[in-house]
Amino acid sequence: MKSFLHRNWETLKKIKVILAIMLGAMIVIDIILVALGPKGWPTFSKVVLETQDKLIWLTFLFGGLVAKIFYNRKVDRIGQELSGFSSFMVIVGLLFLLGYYDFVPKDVPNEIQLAFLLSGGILAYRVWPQYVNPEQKQ
Amino acid sequence: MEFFQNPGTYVVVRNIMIVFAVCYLVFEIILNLNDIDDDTSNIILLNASKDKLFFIPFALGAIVGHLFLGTENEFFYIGDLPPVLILFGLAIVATIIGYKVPFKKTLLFLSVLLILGILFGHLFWSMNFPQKDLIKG
Repeated sequence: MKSFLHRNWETLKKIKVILAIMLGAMIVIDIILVALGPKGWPTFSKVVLETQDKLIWLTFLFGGLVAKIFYNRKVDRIGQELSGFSSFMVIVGLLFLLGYYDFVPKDVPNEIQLAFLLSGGILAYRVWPQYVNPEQKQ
Repeated sequence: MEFFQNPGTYVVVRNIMIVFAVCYLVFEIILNLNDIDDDTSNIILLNASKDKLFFIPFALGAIVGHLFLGTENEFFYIGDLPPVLILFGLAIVATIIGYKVPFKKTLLFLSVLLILGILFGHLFWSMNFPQKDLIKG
């Protein structure tokens, strides 16, 4: 692990910086939206709250991404990860279409939201494993 | 439903969110396909959680509870700003503990923090409290 960190320290630092920039940009945009509130601009939270039916794909995706962080299954073939990723994204795309074409009821109850979060997490765990180079594992 | 009063602004903000989600996923795909393994953001976040930033699962849980769940029971309403301040306060305290007191963060420990975060977001940082103005009195 230490030698891995030593070898790729610069790249990992760049990745962390890009992630921090993305997170920072989202926070800055949200602050701007709060300031624009009186002019009718909603914050990210408000959009999620008021368009829950259209954003059901985001609920599912978020559940999956959280599971990918803490409950990741590891495999030693990259093909398994890529096919799992594609399957997961197909479901996300399908949910996007269901929301977009108003097939989801307007007010989504908490129980259903929780079910989508858990489904995303379980599906990510089951079908979307993480590829780990077998040489690096050792 | 303010959405019906300003549908245009909602669509713009929703599109910004979609752009961020797509950027993040493209970034993840690039990280997966490059020649360095174990550099995807989920692994970096897990390693940071297991190291000094063990507050990450609680914060993620709180965001999940806030965005996607949220109780309607006004008993838990403590105002709009206090939950955000509590979250920031806890993040600062946990980060200081993380740097000063080294201890092993098991997956069970991180899972408990994640669930506590979800409960925090659902109960105290909810967006679904009915008639907030009346509760404020």
